Amino acid sequence: MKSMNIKVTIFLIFYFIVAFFLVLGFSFVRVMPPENLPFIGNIICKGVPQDILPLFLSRYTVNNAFLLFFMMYPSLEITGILIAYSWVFAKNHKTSSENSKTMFMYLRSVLVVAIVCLILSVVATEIVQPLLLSKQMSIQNASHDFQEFTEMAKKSAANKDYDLAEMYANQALSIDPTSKETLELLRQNEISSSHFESTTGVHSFTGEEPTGPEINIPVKELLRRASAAYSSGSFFDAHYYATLVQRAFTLEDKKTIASALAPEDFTAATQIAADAWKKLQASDSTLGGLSEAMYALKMQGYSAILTGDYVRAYYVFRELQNATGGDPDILRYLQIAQENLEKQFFFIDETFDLQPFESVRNVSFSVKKKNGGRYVVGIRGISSFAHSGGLVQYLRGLHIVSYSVSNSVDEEFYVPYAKLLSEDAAHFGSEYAAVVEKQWKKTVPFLILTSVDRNNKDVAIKPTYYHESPNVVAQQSVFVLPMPYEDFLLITQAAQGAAQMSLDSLAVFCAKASLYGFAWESFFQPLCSRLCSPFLFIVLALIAAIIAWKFRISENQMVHLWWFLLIPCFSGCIYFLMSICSYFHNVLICAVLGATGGLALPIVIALYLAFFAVLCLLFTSMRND
Amino acid sequence: MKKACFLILRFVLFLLLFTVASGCLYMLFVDCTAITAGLKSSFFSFSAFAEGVVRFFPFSSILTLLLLFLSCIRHRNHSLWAAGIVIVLSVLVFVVFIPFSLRASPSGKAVSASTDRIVLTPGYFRKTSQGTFYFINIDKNYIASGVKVLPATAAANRIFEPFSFLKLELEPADTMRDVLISETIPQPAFFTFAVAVVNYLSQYASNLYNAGWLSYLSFAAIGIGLFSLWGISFFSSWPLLSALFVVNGFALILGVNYIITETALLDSFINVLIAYSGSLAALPFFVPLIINVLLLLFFSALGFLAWFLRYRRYAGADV
Repeated sequence: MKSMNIKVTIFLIFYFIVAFFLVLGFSFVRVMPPENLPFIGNIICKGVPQDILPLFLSRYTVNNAFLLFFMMYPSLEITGILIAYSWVFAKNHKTSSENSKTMFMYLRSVLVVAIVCLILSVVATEIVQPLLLSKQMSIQNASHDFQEFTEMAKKSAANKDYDLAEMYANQALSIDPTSKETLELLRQNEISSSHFESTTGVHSFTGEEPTGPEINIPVKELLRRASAAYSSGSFFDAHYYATLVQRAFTLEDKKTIASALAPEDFTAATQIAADAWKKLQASDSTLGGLSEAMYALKMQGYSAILTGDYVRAYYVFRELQNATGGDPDILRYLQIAQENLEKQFFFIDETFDLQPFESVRNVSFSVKKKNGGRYVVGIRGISSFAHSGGLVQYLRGLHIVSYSVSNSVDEEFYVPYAKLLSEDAAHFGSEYAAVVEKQWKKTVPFLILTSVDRNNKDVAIKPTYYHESPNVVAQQSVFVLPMPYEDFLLITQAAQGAAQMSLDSLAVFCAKASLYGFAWESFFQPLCSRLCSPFLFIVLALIAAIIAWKFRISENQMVHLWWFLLIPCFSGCIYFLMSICSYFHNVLICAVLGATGGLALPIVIALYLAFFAVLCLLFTSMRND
Repeated sequence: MKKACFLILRFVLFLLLFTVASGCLYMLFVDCTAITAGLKSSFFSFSAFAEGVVRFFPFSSILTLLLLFLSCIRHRNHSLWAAGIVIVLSVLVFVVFIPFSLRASPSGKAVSASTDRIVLTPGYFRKTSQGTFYFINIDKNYIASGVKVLPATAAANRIFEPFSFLKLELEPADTMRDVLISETIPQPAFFTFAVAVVNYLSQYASNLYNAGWLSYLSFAAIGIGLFSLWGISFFSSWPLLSALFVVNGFALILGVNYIITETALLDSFINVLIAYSGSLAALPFFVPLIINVLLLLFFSALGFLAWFLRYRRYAGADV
């Protein structure tokens, strides 16, 4: 049996290598057909998809060849088994004597080879193919984005919006740095832009980004800092820290400043705050080293922080920083204002250059509300980034339609960009806590809808409301979806199709699909199909071995060299036959699923096992006739 | 003689197997088309099974003939007895079985599932020929509320277009089966083509049969073409390769018959033949008969040549 397996393995390896080069050649001819191909050429040659950039052409073709090879891989394996055994059986049978024992030995050999082939085939279909598909998709997306950015750059330049045109041209160049057309466009833009700036005096400021938030400081430490700041004449800091101590006593959630709260601390903090405020009121411009107007502005910003108006505070301190370069007070409060602002808003510049990095596009789903209505959510594209150990996602083109219990639209809005974070559901009340009750991670998708400019307070991108809810007093800048955050991540995968999902994600999503507007059947069927396909493969391998035995060469016959030339014809035929088998395999699963629901999986597996047993009996009962 | 008699037994077994298989597959196909997302359906349907058996019986019996040729290769049975039995069985298929099933089969219907319109369930995103919809509610007359998903190229500041109580004018393809399910099982393109060819040939056979026996002969000529598989089975001394040739030859013969009956090629060919052979070519079965006889002669000659070369080279030894 050992020598038999070695012969088959050698044949398979040789066959796979040759097949790969043939597929590679075919793939190149298919994408870049030589001129004057005969009639059949028009059928097999697809040419390059129009939107693929020349830069990506070779990568696209090679990727395509790999994809085609791995798509055909299971059929190549079955072909290999069929051909190799039709030769090896004859050669081996010359030397064997007792029939039934020999057939058992052959069956064992076939099963060993089939199982090894099955493992390789599962790796090819479950790991390699999805990787290649996502690579192919990213090439197509990048090419599409390049064309879109170039178009936008041209349009913006035509509208004399040179900054925007330059930005789009740079984004296009980040995809294809060799594009002459875009480089020329950028050069023209830069000339026009510099001319435009010299005449209008437009300047932009890119300030230093603040870092290092001050959170979870014990009350004693805050009080110490307040009195130290007061002693050193930093009355803003003294007042700020003293105010934080006062807040610690009034906060409902005392976990934010974790410490034992003593009444005398509150009294001391109140005293420092009052004294520092008095000093701040009495101070003149010399205190902060600023002009009187600047000092008044600083006071305004500080007051905004105290009243929780972080947006106003941010722009005041940003203005102060731009005007003065920023003293430590300004940088500190700018940082505090920004940290708090980013809980409600995000900056427009965060969304620049994002489109090429989108991992998922065109996602649509629905979410049931607790009160019986539902949200219908649509997203054009999602880009994800790791941030502080978590995930930040930017949603391009977010459209939400909210339906009431009576199935009428009660709210509808669209926003060009939204930022999505995962937030603890408990922050948003019992309704949201209930949806994550059975989840391991108790977080929900928290959407920030309004984006603001980093420097200009008059520039903000807000949601467009097509239908406003009568219950909402003011347009909201945040929105929380009543669903577990983990489910949102699953939906983004599911929106790309079940074929793109990993088996574990697919299995988890099947139980939830109908909650989010996806047909359960459309996900359970591919899951069953993928779980049962190893059984189908083994059955087909066994059928191939039976055919190989029945159509084997004679014991004294030679293997002719010209037969090798016809092996690709076998591969083609087996590929077609396996596609038909796979289609009927899916039809069978779908029909059983429609009738029995979740029982379809064990029923179909049982059918395959029964068929496998029959084939094994058939194989061992075959005789040398 | 014993081997030849076994051929008849195999023919009966293969025919039974294909008949049951075609009924089962058709029933599964009908089951799938009846599934609607969110609703349960039935599995066993005797009417669908019976319809599948009758509808596909001509194809099953032709496929049985293919297996008969493969069986001859497998048992290296190239005797004159076997050839005679295959000829008799082919005549039986084309003169008795196929006309009988054509008479029994519901005429004028292509291979497709039930023509009843299904009720589309709300709460799912569905791609239809009119675009992608999400129905909040929908009734059996397709009056629906919900949203339509606009294509990515549409106005940038919208993804959905809400609508309420709109009468949807859906295409039959959207209502005969649930698109959600049919999308789940993509049909391989060549399989769709193969089904179209089988559909066409069934329809063609039915029309010719209804037009009379003389017309039906042009379909029965396929039987002559199919006997060229006998010649093809001599192509190689490796049985598996011969089997491959026979399977491809079978597809080729059906394909050629499909082309000559389906396209305008037939008309132009008839015109040329009329010019040379007068009114004889105007007979309905003349061209298919000529083509199939040519196929038979060509492949028989090739098969004989292959056998002869082998015989001369290896003096009849099977090497």
